[in-house]
Amino acid sequence: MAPHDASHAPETLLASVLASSLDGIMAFRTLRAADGAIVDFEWLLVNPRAEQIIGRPSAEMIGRRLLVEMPGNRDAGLFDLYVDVVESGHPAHHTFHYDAEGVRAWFQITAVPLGDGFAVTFRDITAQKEAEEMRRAREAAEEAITLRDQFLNTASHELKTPLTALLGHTQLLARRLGRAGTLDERDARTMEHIVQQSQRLNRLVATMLDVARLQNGKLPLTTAPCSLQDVVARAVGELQTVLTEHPLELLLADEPLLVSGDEQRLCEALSNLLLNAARYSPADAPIRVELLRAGDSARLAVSDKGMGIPASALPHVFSRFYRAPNIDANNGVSGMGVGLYLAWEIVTRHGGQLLVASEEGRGSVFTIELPLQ
Amino acid sequence: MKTVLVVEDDAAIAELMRGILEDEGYHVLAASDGLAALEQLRRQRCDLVIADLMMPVMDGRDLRRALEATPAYRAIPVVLMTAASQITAEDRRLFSAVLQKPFDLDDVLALAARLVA
Repeated sequence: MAPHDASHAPETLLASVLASSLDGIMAFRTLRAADGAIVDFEWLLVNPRAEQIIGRPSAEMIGRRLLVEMPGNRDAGLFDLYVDVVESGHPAHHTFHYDAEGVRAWFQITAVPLGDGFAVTFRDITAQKEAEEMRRAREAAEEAITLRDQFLNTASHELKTPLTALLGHTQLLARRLGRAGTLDERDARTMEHIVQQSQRLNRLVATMLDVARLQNGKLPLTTAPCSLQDVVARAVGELQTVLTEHPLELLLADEPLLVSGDEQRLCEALSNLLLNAARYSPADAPIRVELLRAGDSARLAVSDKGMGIPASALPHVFSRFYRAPNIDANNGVSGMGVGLYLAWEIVTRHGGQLLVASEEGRGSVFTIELPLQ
Repeated sequence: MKTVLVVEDDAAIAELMRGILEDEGYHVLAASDGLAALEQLRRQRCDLVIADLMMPVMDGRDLRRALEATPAYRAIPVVLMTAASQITAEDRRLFSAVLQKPFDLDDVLALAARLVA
């Protein structure tokens, strides 16, 4: 490069710097009233980036008055800031949101005194600001989820601790009186009621906490190879005191049917189907549990001979809080409308399907289909 | 006589555990948190620890880690009692067994019999 290249002349260099700057740069002259008070500023210089950010050519700014052309400067607090810079002789930095005259963005500016006026460089930081706001919103949302999760864990602990004491002490009392031979049949039945109702309360608490966890998007599964025969045995075992009014028919495949799953959760899903079968069918009506292989899947079906579900209600039975319209007519069957929803969520989170077939007045069949391991 | 240390901050449950175990002939020690449990262990030998998960001062997990870090206590089986519906894989690895609240009396006794044998 030649030492006296014209492009190295100070004026040309200055012009190139101004033209290529990624920051908007403008210079203003102060306009004063007769008493010396600052009334406005007049544009002296506008670089291309400033033209681009403001969205108008420099010809429409140079020689014109700031507050006349862009009154938004007063509302944004910029005019006062410029007055301060000019009067104090000190530079100022400021971050602000501008929304006027078709300009809508976040800016970071530095204004420096310059003769009887000032120069300002400004940078559009909208993208940065938006990213920051999104990050903040995401953090707030994550924190809310963590808080709710902590709350649910505490709630679980707080609700189950008294239940544990209640159930345990009742069982202990029944056992001691039984050993001493001082528990007659009537009192034994009373004790049994206390135990059963406490267990029922415990199931309700567990269900409600699970529903709350699902709301929170967190129903973690601890998956391991899991035998569906074991799931059936466990669910039936846990509910034996509840299913006493219904003869249970178990038709289980001889070959072990293994899935990759959370045994406790699957047991919960099946328990809800069994409880429903018992709840919505008359005393003495049999409940059948059938487990068989169907190709690469296992099929676990619970059939009852109960009141059934109207065809119009079938598409909704797995919705949260939904209860079929024929339930009210058969007065007195309690429920919160979450059992099937929970079962459906558990099964689908295992990569399986929960299917329903029903005929009103004849009974229902709920089938869990799970991919075999 | 086998000795079981029950670590539980809820008095009603601590008493329940004492009742269940003493009725079956166990000697029962009680502590209301992990730190108190370590105190008890310094004074008395014990065959089994049954510890609650959520406790003030030192919780069940920290107690288990403290026991694991002390050669004299490392061999003592520790059962975790918890009201949490989700048992983590970490807890299964850390503890000899997990007792979910609410529990059945027979489950407590079967577990104790198996672990002190």
